[in-house]
Amino acid sequence: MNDAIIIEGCLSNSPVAQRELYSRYSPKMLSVCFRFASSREDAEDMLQEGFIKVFTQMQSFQNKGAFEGWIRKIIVHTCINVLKRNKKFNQSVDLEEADFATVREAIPSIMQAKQVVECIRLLPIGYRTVLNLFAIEGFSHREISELMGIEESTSRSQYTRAKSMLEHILISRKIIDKKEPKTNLIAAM
Amino acid sequence: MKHPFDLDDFESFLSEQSEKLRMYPEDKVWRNIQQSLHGKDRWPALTFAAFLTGAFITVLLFLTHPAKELLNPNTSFATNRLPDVISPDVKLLNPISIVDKLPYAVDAIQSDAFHTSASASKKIADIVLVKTLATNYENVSFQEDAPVGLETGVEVLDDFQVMESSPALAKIIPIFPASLTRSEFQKIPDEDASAPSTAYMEVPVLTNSLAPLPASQEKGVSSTTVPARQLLSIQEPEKVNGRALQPKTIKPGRWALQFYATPSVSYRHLIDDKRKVLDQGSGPYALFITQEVNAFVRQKPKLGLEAGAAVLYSLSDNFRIKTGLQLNYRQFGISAYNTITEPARIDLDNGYGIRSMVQLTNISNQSGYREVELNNHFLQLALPIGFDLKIAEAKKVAFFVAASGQLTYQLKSNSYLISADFKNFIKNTDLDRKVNFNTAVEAFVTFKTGDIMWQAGPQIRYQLLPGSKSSYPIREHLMDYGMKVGITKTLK
Repeated sequence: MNDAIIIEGCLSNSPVAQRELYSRYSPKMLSVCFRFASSREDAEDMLQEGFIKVFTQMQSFQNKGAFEGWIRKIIVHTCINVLKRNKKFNQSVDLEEADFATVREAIPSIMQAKQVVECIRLLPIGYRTVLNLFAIEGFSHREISELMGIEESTSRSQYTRAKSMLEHILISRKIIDKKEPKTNLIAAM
Repeated sequence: MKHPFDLDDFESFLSEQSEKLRMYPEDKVWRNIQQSLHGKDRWPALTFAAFLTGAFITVLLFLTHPAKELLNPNTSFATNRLPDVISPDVKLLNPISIVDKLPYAVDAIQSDAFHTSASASKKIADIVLVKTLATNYENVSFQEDAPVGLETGVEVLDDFQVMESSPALAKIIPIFPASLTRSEFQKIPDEDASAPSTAYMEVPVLTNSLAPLPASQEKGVSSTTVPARQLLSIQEPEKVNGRALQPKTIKPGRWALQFYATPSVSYRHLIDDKRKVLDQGSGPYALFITQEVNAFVRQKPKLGLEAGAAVLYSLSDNFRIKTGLQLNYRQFGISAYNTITEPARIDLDNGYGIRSMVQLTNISNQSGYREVELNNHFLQLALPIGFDLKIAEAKKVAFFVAASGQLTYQLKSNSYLISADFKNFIKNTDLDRKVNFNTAVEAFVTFKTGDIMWQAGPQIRYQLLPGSKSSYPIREHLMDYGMKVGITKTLK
């Protein structure tokens, strides 16, 4: 069953087509939600709300671009809305209180992808959200500022701090090697 | 890993790693989405079960607390001792209940509610009264040949039809052991409402309690006819001539023992809502599509047997509960082929991801050098709990409906699982569910001989939980259709 048939079925409110769409895209979308959420339960709540919007707004998909990208956009927006509704961003507004994340629990030894995602989730929620939106989802800082209700400069500074913090975590867990300092040949000479 | 934190590398690194991750949501997420889109699932089975339960409770209440208007226990009338002509051997059975009921019954028959002529009503009342008394007094017989005053051969068909369909009579008739028949009705004269009651009872009498009897005559052997209404005056047992009347109450035993066997045929229905087929084109991560599993499996029903013993307890004349122990043997066949040994994979979903189990097998679902039938069989020990409800009864024959739930424990099994790509079958070693639950409904006809009841009737049984553990993505439910035969003995 290809995407066109699924879309047509979903537009007809067919439970079979809806189930097929959900089965096909929920594993990837849940991992998207997992990067934004504080826990798996929160991620599933975001996923549930996101897919309900996908099915109810199916008629707004006008075959412009990839279907998966359209679904992903809805899911990401849903994640942001849930975080705003639950006032999670208030936890990370004060940058002075932000510090490097400490290791709260051991990351199980699984694939590197999950390790990286787990490290992203260790970041404070504001940093994590900006990082997800800019580095992974491809939003610009201007779009992020509109989405999260913050200044564009705040978005940039939070991203810089998030990146630095993430680097520290990944190195400490030996997921990546420590950055070698670039040698200045002219200075050396 | 090489440090990727140059500007362009960093985003690429995070994207690449994030895209690799797959996570599988709980079932409740999809259920909530479905409920939000389509509303709550309607459960007609629950509505039906609630209706059945309500109907059953209503019937049970009616049977244990029958209508009061005909059965007023507070009625009393003059207490007289037995007439002298009646022997103390005449024993009144259930004196209070029968005698209390009769006056009201007779009055109802004589009332205008029956829409019959006054004389016909009176005569009907007498005949019904006499027959009732005859069956409720020991050593008393009903004199079918009416004495002077009752004529035969009178056709009163229209009235009899009215009587037959009268709801008032329908209420009264059950309390009398014998129904009024057409031939008895035809003996009633059409007119003469003023005629006195001519219904008589033949009862043994004391010829002379004090005087010596002639040698040729046995004491109490002679009989006479007395007006039936004279016996109606007895309310409680009395002493007559120094001998006490002993009211005899008959109590049927409430406990019964039953042995039964149900040859049945087992059908298997497969349900799969998470079917996955590996798409070779997308690397180590599968692209998931759904298939309909029943289209791929060729199953054949086979004969099985359920046999056991049960103890029954009658809560009322029409309702009894039961429990016991039984053994279930169920089997069905799967058509397959023998082929060269090849690996086959089963995907198990434990809620945290897919775990694959690979096993070598020489059984193919598609083709091979020889056709073969895979015999799946199961031996279970079951604890049934249920009830029987009598719907209708006529003399020795009765019609029942019954339902039960069985908790089962699997003692032994031999079954096969289909592989993830539907191509092979793998012998099931440890995915069987040991404890399960069956429900059964049945209807049967019984024939009573003494205190033995013989029964036969159809039964449908359904296995509620899947036969395999929940990690196996295909749910299997067994349904059995059979004919139950049994023998029940009432324990005294």
